[in-house]
Amino acid sequence: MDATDRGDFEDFVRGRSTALLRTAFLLTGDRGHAEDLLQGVLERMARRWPAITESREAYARRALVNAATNRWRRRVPAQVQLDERHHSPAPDVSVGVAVRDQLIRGLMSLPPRQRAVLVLRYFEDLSEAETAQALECSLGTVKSQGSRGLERLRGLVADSERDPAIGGRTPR
Amino acid sequence: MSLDLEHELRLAMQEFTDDVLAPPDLLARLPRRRTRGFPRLAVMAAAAAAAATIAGVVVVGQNTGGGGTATPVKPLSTYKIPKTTAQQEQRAATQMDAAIAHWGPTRGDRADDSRLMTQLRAEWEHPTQHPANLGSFEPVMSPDGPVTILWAGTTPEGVAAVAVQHTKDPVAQYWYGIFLPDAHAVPRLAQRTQLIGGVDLAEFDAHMLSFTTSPAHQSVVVLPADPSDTVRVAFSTTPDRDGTLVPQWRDAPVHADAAVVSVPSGGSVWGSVVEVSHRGQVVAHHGLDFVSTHLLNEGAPQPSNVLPMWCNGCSIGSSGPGYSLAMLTAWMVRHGPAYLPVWTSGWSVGGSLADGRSVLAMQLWAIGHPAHTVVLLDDQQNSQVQVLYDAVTKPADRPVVAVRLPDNAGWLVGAGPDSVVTGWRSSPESSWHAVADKKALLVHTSAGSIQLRMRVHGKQQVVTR
Repeated sequence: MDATDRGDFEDFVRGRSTALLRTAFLLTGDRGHAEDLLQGVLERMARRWPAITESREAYARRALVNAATNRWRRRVPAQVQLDERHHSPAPDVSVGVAVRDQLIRGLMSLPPRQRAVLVLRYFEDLSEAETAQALECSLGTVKSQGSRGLERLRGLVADSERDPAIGGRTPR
Repeated sequence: MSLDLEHELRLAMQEFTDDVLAPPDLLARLPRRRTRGFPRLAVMAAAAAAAATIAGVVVVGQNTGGGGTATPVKPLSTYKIPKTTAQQEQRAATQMDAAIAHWGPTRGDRADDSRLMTQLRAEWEHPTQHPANLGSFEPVMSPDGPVTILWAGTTPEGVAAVAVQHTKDPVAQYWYGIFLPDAHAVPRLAQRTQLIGGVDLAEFDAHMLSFTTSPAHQSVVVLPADPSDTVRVAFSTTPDRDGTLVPQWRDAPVHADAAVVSVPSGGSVWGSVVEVSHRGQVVAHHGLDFVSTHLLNEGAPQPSNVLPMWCNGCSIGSSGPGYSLAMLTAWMVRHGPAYLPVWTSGWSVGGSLADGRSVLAMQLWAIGHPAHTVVLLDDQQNSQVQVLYDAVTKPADRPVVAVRLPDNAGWLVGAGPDSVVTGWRSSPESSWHAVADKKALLVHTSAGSIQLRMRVHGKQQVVTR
């Protein structure tokens, strides 16, 4: 890697790390794991930087997703440390906030691949085709996983509307 | 209620991550996994060139008052990774593949214990310890294929084992782990690290694997690549008349594919040296691969002393004698792109000062770049590392180190490989304080300069700093 490449890499780390860390956080549900994940991906990218010919951000995102969904398959369900606003919505909190709180809890309870599809589609705003590329799976898998994920979230929100007490729990 | 679920999900994820920001020191953190302790190539080079180096008594050390450095900090852009590095890594990766492929079936006196094999594989998959305590565990490297138990055998402390697993990563091809017996003699995964072609071959010698069984270092296990190889271990070294360190060898017979040796009373694993011979030829000669591997509830092992110490084969970092990685990071951040792999020398001089700070002199270099002899001071209470001395030296150098420590903490002195310190004084007019052939010592004087009386290749010399 020559000086230009090194400069590019460091610019990439400075410029894109927060966005990538947010994605990693949504994928893992844990800030520490997200940072570990991102750090590992960046280390790997540093070693291979000149050889990465595709969009570096796409490469990083794909590496993050793969790492999060393949990580020994033993971290699911994720243990989510929600901050106070997510833990205990006040009685007069708006319906929107309560629903979003429930959606995050639901998102973290999804299987890793379903969660990854939803994160890429609705947080990263990737198309279904781009999501399939990032996950290295078929378009049909993205469609089916996304549909199941949304269906599950819709069910959780409906449940919480029937039983508001559910909204106060932290998923285990 | 009509809910636009997709819209709400977008908002929810944005709100949830609003306060998530990348750590400002992320770039600086990147070398964490790339530092490796024991550069065999450097040691071999040192053996060849040490005599020439020490003949002129290369002395490093300046009275910096604690804050200075002998060389200006180089801008990152001046460093280049040699083009051949990738080729070297590829070559090394091939060798590593071959070494593991040729290992054959599980070895050891417990290799046929199918229940144990199942237990080890389960422990590998779901370690009892938290992954954060498993060395350089990085989930990003996806495992690929089955876990291979290279060896499982009995030690005086219980069953230990070594395992590897291929990964999908083309650079870091293997996870490599050590199982150690816990208090109930049950093998638990104590160390899992990545083998990276070229760089991490230092932690994977194709000729042998070696580790200790507990923080108390009751036993050392050496696994020669060929069970018919002969093994010797030295737990201490003695300077000869010329000041050259001579290992105090003891034979370590190989039984059931392993040499298991108890550490003798008064011996120490920190400066130990292992030698493996194949058909009469020495094929491996270096310190233990894993010294400070330990289980979570045991606490990290620490050398009982370290001053005075001349460590002829120790490494630092995850398998080293208890020095913080921060000491290395301080140098790496200062001198090179954080992601460059860094080698460390096969020698170090250091220890703990009376106030709890650690001091360490050693050699560091980024691959393809000049080696630096550095002296680092770690103030663990303030989480600060001072670079007391830093100068370019040849990788093969094992210079005499004489550095004044800040805050009137005295002088750190370390002799070269073929010399010993026999005395010191604070000025030419004062009397000599005799010391008994020390390889390293901490001189308690507030003097701003020091004279060392040394025996180099059998001849007395006086060195002034």
